[in-house]
Amino acid sequence: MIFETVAGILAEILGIDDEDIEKDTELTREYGIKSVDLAKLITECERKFQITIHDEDVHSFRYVNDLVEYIRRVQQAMQ
Amino acid sequence: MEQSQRSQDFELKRLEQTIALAEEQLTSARQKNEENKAAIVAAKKEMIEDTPHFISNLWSLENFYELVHLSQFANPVLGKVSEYEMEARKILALEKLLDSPYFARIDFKFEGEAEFEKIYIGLSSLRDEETYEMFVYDWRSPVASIFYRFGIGQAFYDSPGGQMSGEVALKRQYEIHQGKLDFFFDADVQIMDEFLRKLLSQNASSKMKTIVETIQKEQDLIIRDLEMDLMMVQGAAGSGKTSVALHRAAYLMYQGLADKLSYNNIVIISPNPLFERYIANVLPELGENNINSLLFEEILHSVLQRQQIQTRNQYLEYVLSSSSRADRTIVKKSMEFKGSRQFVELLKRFIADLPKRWLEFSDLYYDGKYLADRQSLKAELLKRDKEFLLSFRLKQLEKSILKTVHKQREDRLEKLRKQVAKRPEHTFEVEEVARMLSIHESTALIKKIRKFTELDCFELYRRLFNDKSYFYSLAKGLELPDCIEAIIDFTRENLQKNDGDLPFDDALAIAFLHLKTQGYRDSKDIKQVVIDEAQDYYPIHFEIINVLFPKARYTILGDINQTIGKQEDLSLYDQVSRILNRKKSTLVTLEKSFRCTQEILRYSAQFLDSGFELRSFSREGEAPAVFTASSSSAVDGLIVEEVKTCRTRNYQSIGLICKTEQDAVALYDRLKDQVEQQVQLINSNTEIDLKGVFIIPVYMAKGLEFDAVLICDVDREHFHSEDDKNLLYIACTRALHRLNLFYSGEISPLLTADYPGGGK
Repeated sequence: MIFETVAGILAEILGIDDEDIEKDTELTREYGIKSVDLAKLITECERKFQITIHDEDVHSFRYVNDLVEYIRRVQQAMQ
Repeated sequence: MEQSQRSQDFELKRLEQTIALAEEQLTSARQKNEENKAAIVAAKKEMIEDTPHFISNLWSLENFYELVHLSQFANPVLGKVSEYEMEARKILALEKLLDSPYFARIDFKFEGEAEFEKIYIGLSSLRDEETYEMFVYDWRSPVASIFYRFGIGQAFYDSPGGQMSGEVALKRQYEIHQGKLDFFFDADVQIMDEFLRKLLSQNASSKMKTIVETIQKEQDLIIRDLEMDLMMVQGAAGSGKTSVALHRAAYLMYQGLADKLSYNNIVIISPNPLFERYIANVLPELGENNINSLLFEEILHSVLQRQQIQTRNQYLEYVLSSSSRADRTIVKKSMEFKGSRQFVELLKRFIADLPKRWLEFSDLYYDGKYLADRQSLKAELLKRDKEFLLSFRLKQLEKSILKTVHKQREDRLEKLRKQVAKRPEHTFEVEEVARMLSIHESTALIKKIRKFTELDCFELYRRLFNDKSYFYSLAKGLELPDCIEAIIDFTRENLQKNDGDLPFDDALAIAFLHLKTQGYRDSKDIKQVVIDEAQDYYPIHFEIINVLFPKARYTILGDINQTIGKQEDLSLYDQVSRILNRKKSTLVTLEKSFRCTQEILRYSAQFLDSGFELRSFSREGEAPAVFTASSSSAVDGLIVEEVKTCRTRNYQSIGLICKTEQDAVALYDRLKDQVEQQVQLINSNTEIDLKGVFIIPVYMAKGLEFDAVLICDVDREHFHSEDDKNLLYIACTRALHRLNLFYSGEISPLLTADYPGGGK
């Protein structure tokens, strides 16, 4: 569920198909993701999931899945 | 051995009944398992059809009901699976039981009772479920200890309900194979010894055997001890240390079943991979399948998360075979020092000094303001409770810094938004660009913080060796080796290299630093640790083990005469006991050797320091001899001849032992075409079944045994030092029945003149 949502947000930012985003898609410039896209993704995820993502943690999101797992952990901690 | 026809008839009938019962149970267990299997398959099918296969978020509320739904199906399946596994184990035990249901019987009269009970003892228990009559008692059950400890007459044993006393009227032993009674005899101590002698004089089977039938009283006391937190055993070569270690593990398992001790809670630490494979077959034999056995190297890999580490065998090979004597010496001295108590103390001082001196605190700013200066950060860290691991204290410090940052974040973002809004090119994406800037500066900040909150033990260790004057100031009052300068330089050079393996001794030291500062989570539930060949370890090994298994009880077995590349004496056990610091500890000595013949043992004794006693279990054989010839190829000829002789005598395992792997390879190349039977070279990577002719370096041969042993290259060049003397001792004591030594050129000065060919 989290992954699908994140993939949807990212696809929209990049203007591509949802299906082109996978768990091991890298959140880097080589994959066409600029810093500002990443910032958008983070802001959107915070809004959608009603959580806070700390800016100092963002550098550790290398793959889409890292972000997904982070959100999962934050949600768990909130429960 | 005289037996009346009546008892012969009785025993045959009893065996028949036992086997019938076992067969009946086996049939029903098999049937039950078929049913379980079918039930598992059916339940799984139902689960797949009726539940969603994939629940993406197990933790969200909306999916909670899906999860509950799934678990309704999953729980019965899991139950069936564990039932299935239990039955499978039972089937295995019953199959073994059918082959040989028991090996001994005692007739025991409990105090206050009128009649003697017949107690049959085997590898596992067998009970008639209807009448509750015990047909066979597991050798590990309390009452079975009588068999190992007492003769005819008064006897007692400890049971969960207290001490039970009584009287033994009969001790009988059986040889049963494939369900047929070969013979039995009533035993007193002499006859038991006769039986043991007969078993021992058989040629070694390919794998180490279980000794349940022949456990000696001293061995039994070790195997069944539950009192001691630290049980140390000094045992002569061939005294059955390793067997005792394995049987003890099996016994602890059996005892632990009641306390919910599972195989995950017992670990055996073994010295080399060959040994590990060798024992792999013994434990299931004893009744327990999955005791974890671990190499020390594996511990290092998982603590350091690094694959490139020199193995102990690589280290030994280097120390024994490097062509440069100076290199050899420094590598050895370096290991000795880094394994020592002194160095451990130095590392402890280093760790205590890390916060004060080695952490690179820096002034931190956020939102244009001072967050904290380096002095106050250090002060805050030092204020924290030293009981906690350093890495934990650092994490707490990091958290408290970030807490302040988080409070200020919204203000900071607002400022960034205003700044961005002023720039016309970003009018449409103020929010994102501001966030991006915030992420950038936060990343820079956290990297600055992590420079002092994350510990890089490798780097810290490197710096310790880069700063000599600091090193000496830490070492104040500690006894340092003469060549300490050379060791420091040598280590510094090694650590500078970025490629290649991390030297064995440095890996140990870094693992120690890591464990002492960051801890290790995975090993805390281990309750029993069994360590074999303890003489190979240095104090730092035991320090590491102690950090890893803080709550465990220990069984430690070794022989100070079987060291490789180091010297050891009885103070080893004092050190171990000081490091592990357990409430109740004891040192037991096993002097009697069961492996070698008297002659081999007497010959081996020349390599021991005087005052060390070796008692043999009296079994006679041929005296060892030393052979030489005019040329090295002629010596090879003699070796080939000897192998032939051994073959004609039907020795199953023949070991050609060399000093190093290098020597072993050379010998192998010379001999491989000359010996009729296939010769196998054993090195660290070989999988083996010890049946046939083998060439093996001595450090790999430790803990193994061969029917016949040929020790090659016993010349002055190969064997002359104190360390070499230990190697000869180890090599000689690998032999069960026959031992001969070969050399060309000048004979080793370590061989005495009292034997044929020796020391001419």
